[in-house]
Amino acid sequence: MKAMLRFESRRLGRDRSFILSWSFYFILFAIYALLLHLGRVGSLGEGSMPMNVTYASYAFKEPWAVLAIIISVMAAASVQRDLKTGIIETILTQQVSRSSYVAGKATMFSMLGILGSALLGLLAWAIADMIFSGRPPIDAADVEAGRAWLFARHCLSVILTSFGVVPPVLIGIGLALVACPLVAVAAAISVTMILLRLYAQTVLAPAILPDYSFAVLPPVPGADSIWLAGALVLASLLIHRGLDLVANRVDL
Amino acid sequence: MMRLLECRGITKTYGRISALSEIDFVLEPGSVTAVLGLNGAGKSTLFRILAGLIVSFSGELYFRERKLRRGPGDSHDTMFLFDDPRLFEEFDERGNSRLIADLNGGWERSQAPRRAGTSAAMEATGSDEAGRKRIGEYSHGMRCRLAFELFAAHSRPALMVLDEPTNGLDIEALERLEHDLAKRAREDGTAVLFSTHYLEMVERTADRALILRNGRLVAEATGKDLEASRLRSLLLGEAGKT
Repeated sequence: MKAMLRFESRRLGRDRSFILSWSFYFILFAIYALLLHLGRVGSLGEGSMPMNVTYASYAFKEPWAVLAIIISVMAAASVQRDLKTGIIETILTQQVSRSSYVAGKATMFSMLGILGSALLGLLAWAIADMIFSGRPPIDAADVEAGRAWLFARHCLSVILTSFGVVPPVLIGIGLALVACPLVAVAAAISVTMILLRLYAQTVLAPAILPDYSFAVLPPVPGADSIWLAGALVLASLLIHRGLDLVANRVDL
Repeated sequence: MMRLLECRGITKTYGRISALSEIDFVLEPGSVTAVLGLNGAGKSTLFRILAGLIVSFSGELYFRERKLRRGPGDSHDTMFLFDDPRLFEEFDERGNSRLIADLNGGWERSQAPRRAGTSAAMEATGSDEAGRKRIGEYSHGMRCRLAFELFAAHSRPALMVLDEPTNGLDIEALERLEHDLAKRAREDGTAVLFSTHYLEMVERTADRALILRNGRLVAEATGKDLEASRLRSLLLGEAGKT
């Protein structure tokens, strides 16, 4: 499986259509998030977005749904391209069974989906839960956070701190991959999400938001991520088994 | 002697059309067997069944005396090369070598086979400069040579199945291929099964030829019957099963 993941990642690294669509997606997400932010703080019209709802709750959900669709399309297109170009004959006549091929694709694109979700989540959380300001934090002299006024550089340090969790998360995912890809990644993401939520709720948000309300977060921190991780594992196993059954009965 | 590969009653139909009918043969280690037939005789279908690419067929297939549900294409000790071998066109030779190594468990194995594979491939296809070109820019013949070298370098095949490996090869590459096949069979005990339309190559290289006509195994030639003129007669149906 590790060799297949290396193989697939090498190929994706050279796949221009993949790189372009992946970049395009994150650029679109950034524009979308910016528009939401501007709408929320009143720079666009009256500011129709409610201020008492975490920014992440609506800046994250729609892009995540789009991401799931994009990943599925990319995976299907990748298999289709292998069939159309005939490269699948080369792959399946090396030491790669059909099951390994399917599992490699499923795992690679699941990982991309999970990684993309994690990045989206971290970006949204970084903006929403930690900087609850009425204007862009970087270029303002000082920023209103709840009822408190903070120096912009203080906000910047908070942002950097929040982004500082990204490398450990990525390393954690990488280490988890060495063992049992799907289950380990899901578990790592789940645990990381819980820790991040707790960190945001108990340390960062109260520190910069004096009137921070716990009511906007789920009653059990990280409960949604546990369900998400479980669903991912189950879906992956089902897809794997299903495709395996089909793949081993089709002439190529 | 141990039977490396055994086919019993291999039959493949596409609807009402019979592509292969009751094919029986055995391959022993160190043997070089040619499969001959006119276009549409069923050679490629047979090879695709052996490679595990076609899985819906009837008959029995044994590899190392173990019965298989489908061809041993993904086994670590087999090598399959088809007439229009596909490589990763957006990569150069080194990139292809790494990818083929990955597909053969390269991550777990040492770096040596990977380097050896790259060196052998680059030696076979020309200079270092050529090695930096993307495979998409290669001629058909160069791609065939490279594919053969890469696949062979990254596996230790006990069975080598080559579907028309001579297509697009120049005279130098052809002689090299003949030499390689003979050497592998003689020194490594590799069983070689190949198809071709070059009867002179069969005469020089093979120790047996299977003649297919309309999906049926109609003749088997050994010894003096491997002379190109006799093979031609067998192919065109001017002689019965010998």
